[in-house]
Amino acid sequence: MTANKKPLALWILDGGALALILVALAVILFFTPADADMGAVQKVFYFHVASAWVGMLGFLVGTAAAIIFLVKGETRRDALSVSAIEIGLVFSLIATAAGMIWAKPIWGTWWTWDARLTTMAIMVLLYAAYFVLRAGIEDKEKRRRIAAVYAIVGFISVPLTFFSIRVYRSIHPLVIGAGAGAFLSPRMVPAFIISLAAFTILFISLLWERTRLEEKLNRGKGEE
Amino acid sequence: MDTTIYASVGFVVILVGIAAYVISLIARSNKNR
Repeated sequence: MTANKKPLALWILDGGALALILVALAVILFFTPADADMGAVQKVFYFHVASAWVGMLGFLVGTAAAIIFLVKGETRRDALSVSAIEIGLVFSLIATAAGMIWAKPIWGTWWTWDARLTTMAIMVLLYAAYFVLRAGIEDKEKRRRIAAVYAIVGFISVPLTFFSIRVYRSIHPLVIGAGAGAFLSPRMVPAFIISLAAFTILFISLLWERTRLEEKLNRGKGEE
Repeated sequence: MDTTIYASVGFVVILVGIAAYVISLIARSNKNR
């Protein structure tokens, strides 16, 4: 069917995301110095932060789409919301796993109940429960409305996680905003910016792909 | 302290995680073709 044909722009976006990830990897591995204290493991930080950024961006887009869905009642906004939240959850889990691997040699433990780690764990569990909630409601209209309200309320956990290291005492490094300079030397900044750009393009590409899939699933179930 | 092994595992976890999600998208898409 022509309506389901993948747009050329999406092919280009997919290829661009892959190419940028490879460029970011090359810059991190071959053109960025290793941290004097932490050694090679500090390099995980670039993709760890980029993954966490995509996680929070996914929840933000998912919440915005949920609000628009509640106001306008358009099914495609619900498809966008569930897609963005799924990507947000996947990347939050990836960021958490990468952070744990970094923490083992640096903090001497895989996990500690620090403010950032605790709020991150709460956020991940809240959004994992979003999918349990969706799976448990059969009526499509009710499911979409309740999921949208849950997504909006659950979003409270996102700024709480982001600002946790600024508000509470935390051992987690601060890399964005005031007081962040100490963690990154000027020669590390390009790798950081390229990683953020690569993961942002990847997010847009995945979101487009996932939303198309959700709309296809809805059509298949007759739930448009 | 040599942290190269942790760096290697970290990158593998991130890249395999992303690849696994992309494969899941392709599989779900093909299933509902």
